[in-house]
Amino acid sequence: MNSDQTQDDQLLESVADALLVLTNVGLGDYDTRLKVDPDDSGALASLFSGINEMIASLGAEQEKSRAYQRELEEKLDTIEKQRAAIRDLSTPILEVWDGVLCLPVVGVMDTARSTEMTASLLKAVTEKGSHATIIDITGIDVMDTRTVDHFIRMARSVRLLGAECALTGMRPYIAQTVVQMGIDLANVVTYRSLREALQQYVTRRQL
Amino acid sequence: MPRYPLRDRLDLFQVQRAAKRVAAEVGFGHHAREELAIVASELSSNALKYGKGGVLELSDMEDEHGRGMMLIAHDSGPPFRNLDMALKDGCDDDGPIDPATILKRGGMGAGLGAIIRLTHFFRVESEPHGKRVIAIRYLRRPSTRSRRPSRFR
Repeated sequence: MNSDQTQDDQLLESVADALLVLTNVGLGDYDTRLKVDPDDSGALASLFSGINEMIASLGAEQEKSRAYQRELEEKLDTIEKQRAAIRDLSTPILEVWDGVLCLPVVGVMDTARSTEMTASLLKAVTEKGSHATIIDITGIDVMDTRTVDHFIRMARSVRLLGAECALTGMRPYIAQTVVQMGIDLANVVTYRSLREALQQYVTRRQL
Repeated sequence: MPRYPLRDRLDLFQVQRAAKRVAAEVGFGHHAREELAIVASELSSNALKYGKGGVLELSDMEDEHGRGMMLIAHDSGPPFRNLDMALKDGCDDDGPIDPATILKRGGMGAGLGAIIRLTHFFRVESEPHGKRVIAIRYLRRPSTRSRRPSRFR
């Protein structure tokens, strides 16, 4: 009777231990283990070592998923950086010579892009105090009429800031659009190619 | 029918390339392909800016006016409150856009105008959770006589 009582007490104690350890695991402590007597081959002992194994594999999985998460965060970070790079590259403004800015335009030109381009060009002209700006549109075959108009306005805005502005590499189709729309080209200098414009501005600078 | 998700500005590059490819398959020449890329870009950037993202569908189509390419932008944004006003260059639903807003919004309000100029058919339809903007460009410009009233441009 008395030994039964002791066995019951021991069992209760072991269960309480197990619950405590499981609570710790639940709180994120995967290093905690249940005490198992290696010589004990009773049902409780094998249950406990089973639980220990489970905790160990749970811990390993947690570690793995943390590693995945770190990796994912790094990748997202890279993507964010690339995104910023693409944004910058889509409207590169180069200082090709002292005070001479060049804006090479390539790709599909929509209204949103041309608005952004104006904003960054005007900002660059003021910040760098440039005296000449070349907008090269060799890479654009087709533009909506309104966007063409916007480009000419952009050139005029640059003049207002006190810098010269040249449009170079205009394609025949766009030239036709400009004329058909009756856009006023006063104050806007055009050159056949970027090269010609550069020669002009650079030689003038050296005189 | 290929569908392209519109989640952020980077998707515009994919959409432009896809539009050129589909246009080439339909049989459009170089100029028209470039123009259709602009249309796809304008439709998509509107869906992103005002419609909280969406999907662009590009397809080959044929009806009584001939063969062409159809572009449909589905978005989950509110309907146009004043489409006639929004269609005007430099305007949105509320009328002319001031320069500060143009800079802030990164658009001059001429996107819809560009779509209309570069396509032959334009219509906005409402959907249960948003709207779709449809534009069609035919290989050959439909004659005025066969145009459906009002919606053809």
